Amino acid sequence: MLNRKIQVAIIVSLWAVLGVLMHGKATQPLDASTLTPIQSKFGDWAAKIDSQRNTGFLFKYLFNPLRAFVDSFVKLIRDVISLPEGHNLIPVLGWSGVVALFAFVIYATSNIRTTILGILLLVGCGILGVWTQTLDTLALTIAAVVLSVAIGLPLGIWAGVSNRALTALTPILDFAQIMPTFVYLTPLALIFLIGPASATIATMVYSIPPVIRITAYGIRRVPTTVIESATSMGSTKGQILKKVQLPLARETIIVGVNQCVMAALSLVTIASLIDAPGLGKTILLALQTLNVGKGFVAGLAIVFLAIMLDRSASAAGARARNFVPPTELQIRSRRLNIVIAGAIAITFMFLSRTILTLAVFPSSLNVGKHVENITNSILLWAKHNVYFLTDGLQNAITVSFINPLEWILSGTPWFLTIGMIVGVGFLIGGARPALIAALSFGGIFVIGLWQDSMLTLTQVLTATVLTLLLGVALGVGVGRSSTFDRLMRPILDAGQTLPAFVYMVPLLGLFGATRFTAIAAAVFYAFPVVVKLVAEGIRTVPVTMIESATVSGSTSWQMITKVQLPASRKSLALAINQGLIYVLAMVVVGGLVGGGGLGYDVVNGFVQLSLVGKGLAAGLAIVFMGIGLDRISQFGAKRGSSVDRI
Amino acid sequence: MSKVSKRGLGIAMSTVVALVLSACGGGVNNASTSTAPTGAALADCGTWSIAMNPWVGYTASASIVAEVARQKLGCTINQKDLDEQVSWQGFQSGEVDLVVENWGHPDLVKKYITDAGVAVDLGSQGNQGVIGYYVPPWLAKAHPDITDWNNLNKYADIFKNAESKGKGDWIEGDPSYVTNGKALVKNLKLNFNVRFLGSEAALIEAFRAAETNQKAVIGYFYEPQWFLNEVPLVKVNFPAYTDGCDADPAMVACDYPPYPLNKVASKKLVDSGSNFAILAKNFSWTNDDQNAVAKDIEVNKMDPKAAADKWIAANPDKVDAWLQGTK
Repeated sequence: MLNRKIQVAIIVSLWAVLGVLMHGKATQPLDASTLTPIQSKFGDWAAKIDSQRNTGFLFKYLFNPLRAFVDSFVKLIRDVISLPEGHNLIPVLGWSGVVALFAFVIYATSNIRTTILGILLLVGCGILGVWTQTLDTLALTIAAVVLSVAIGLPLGIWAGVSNRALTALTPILDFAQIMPTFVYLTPLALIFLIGPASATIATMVYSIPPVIRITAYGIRRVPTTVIESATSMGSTKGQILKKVQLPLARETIIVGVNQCVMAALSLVTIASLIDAPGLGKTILLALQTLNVGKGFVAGLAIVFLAIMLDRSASAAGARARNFVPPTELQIRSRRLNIVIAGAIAITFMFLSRTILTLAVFPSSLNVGKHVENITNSILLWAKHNVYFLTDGLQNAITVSFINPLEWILSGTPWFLTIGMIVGVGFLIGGARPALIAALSFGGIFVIGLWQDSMLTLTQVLTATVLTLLLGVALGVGVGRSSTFDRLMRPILDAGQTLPAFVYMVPLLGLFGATRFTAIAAAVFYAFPVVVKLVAEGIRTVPVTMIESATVSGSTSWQMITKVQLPASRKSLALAINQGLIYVLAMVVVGGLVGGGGLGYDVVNGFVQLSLVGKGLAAGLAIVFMGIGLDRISQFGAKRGSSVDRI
Repeated sequence: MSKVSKRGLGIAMSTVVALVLSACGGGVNNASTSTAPTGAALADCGTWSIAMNPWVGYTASASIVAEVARQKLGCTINQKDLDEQVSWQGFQSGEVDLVVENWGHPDLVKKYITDAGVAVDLGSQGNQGVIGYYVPPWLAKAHPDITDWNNLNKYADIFKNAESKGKGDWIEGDPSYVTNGKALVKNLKLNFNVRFLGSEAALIEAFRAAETNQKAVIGYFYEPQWFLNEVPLVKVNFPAYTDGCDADPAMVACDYPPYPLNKVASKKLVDSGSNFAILAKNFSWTNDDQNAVAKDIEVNKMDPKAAADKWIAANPDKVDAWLQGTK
């Protein structure tokens, strides 16, 4: 163990020394407006795809009909709840009708408390003055979720009953979840153009995997004894699936749908980059005009939506969990209640089409502008008064950490760095991750984006270190103290459900358009998952170990560093893996706000037609980097766990 | 238990059906056509899309055209947030009918106007565009010779900061803008590091901070832009533009050409003969007009529509001139 650490240290220092000696050679620097032949080739492909839009076979019979179908589905939902037609003032339903409809659906599937919460949150979005945008976001989310469940559920059931299907699907699902969302927007826009339809399709790439995964898991979790007894009673496979496996997996499947909803909501926001309507657009506009207050209002509305969707799905899941059969009386009164609720809902929907104040959200209730102004004044105050703190922190980290690391990573010849990564990969993971690392980082060199990738890698490493420092410290606290756990839980939940975009706005206000903003956003995005994993690891340390350490007189500090953290090595390794993936996904979005590197290349390729090829290449480089980092850290985690067992 | 929620869902479904059926009836929508044109009987204008490019001057021009079209001509106007070059693609895909402030783009003119014939040049919109590299006024005062590019390397040291990698800090805006920054720095061998801030607002913020804190920075900027009235940035002179000196984007070593800003419309819009096409052709205003509306949007945080309404109310004769020839 120690031996391996020394070997890693030797390789890294050798790399650093040689890197300094050969600084600036073979780094593949690339001017903004220059393309390598491979990148130009990507551009030619893109142009070729574009020219076949109306004639190509795939377009005619697959992509265009698919786009048209999704488009009309989204339009149908938007027409009902968010999009006024032509000269109309309101969609099919006015605001109160929409609230009544959602309240009724929540009531019919869960309980009265969740229903009231849902009503308050939806009306809250109206009070924030972003009613239409909220409903646009909701409409796209609903469209993506419905389609995701329609595709994901059958696939999940299939993967639940067939081992072959599970093996075939797993790598695809892994890939879809590792790949930073930012990356597939450009290729999807190339095929499906921009707009609500391609935004919905992009969202589905991200929201289908949880449905498949969790459904398969739920079906596989049904005890074999139950299935055996059903088989012995002569049930067919179809009967077992329908009468035994699916009902028993119901609660888990609802959890899967819940995950799908949250994933969809998060991506619908980012999809504003390819012209998805809704709150994401408001946030993007706020980023462009540095109007933090406006971004805050939209972000708050997204939080409201996230809470509403999360709570109603969990409450529906909790209902499904209830195994005590209700009495005849309970069933009857529940039915009566639902009929009454339905009557109320229909009344409101009708009224929302006839009474103006129930149709258009009253502007007298709109406090959005005030919230915006107050936020902006607070930020302005903070900028002037906490300036020395934020500026000091930013400068300290930039000068002492980011700049030197960037200098060495982007200045060292590519073959040295690849050699170092492969060597370290071999030592922590073995031959396979070393090979994968060689292929993925070699791929980055082949497509000609080495230096830009190293800029991104600098930010990824810096953000991961900061995330781990913060995450482990808080994770230990959460794992050891249940009071601290209760305190942190809402923050962690919010951090995980909030779409990535939302963090960007206040950070941009505080730190300006710099690499540090991208790094800070990545830390905020990634630390909740690290905290949760570390806390979980600490909690599962065997009580006997703790007791024996206490008996032998360990202090708290010794307990943490000598017992709890070493014993939860496996969770720590997993936390590093997840931290890296989350950080990478966010750091590239930072290309929008002065982060530079690959994320910037992607954005630039999207907006400068002559650089399309480079943008696509940069997307590919991000995927390569993600796979490389994921594999090395995952094999490291596996090895960590095998040491654990010894 | 499971029966209940299934039933609940069933009722929910039938509610939706009932609702869609009831939607056929009238109500608020039919009673109020809020966007009714002020004129008497107007020819049907139709539904058109204006591209909304991401800088505030553009927002000002486009909001004015959109509001005049809605209020005076009864058109249905969709405003689509798109980048410059993506907007041009929209002429082909049918997503865009009008770009109100086009900055050159000879390659796109050739591709979409000359070759594909899907777009039409509608002539000047009155604004004269200038692109260049600017320094804050305090810097030009302290070092008057800094406005000649030949002297930039002499001062490169004072432009250094934490973000500029040991060289001078050279800032650019939104990557979608027309820019030769990186090529200029390379081809003129300037000891500067080019950094994209991502938006117009970030550029303005950086220049404002540089002027207040007396920090040195050189960056991309342009006219017409209201901010120049607040902080009169000073333009640095690069080798003068000559015809074709910017033909190869990687080899550019000269200043930007002057940009007489023009309007570009889809062939579809021009052929329709709609009142909106006439308005689009007539629309023209001055840099001062644009700056006034842009400032209301950016500094006074007015909604673009409200800022447009204010200007339209204050300038009835200009608006009337644009409506000449509408039916």
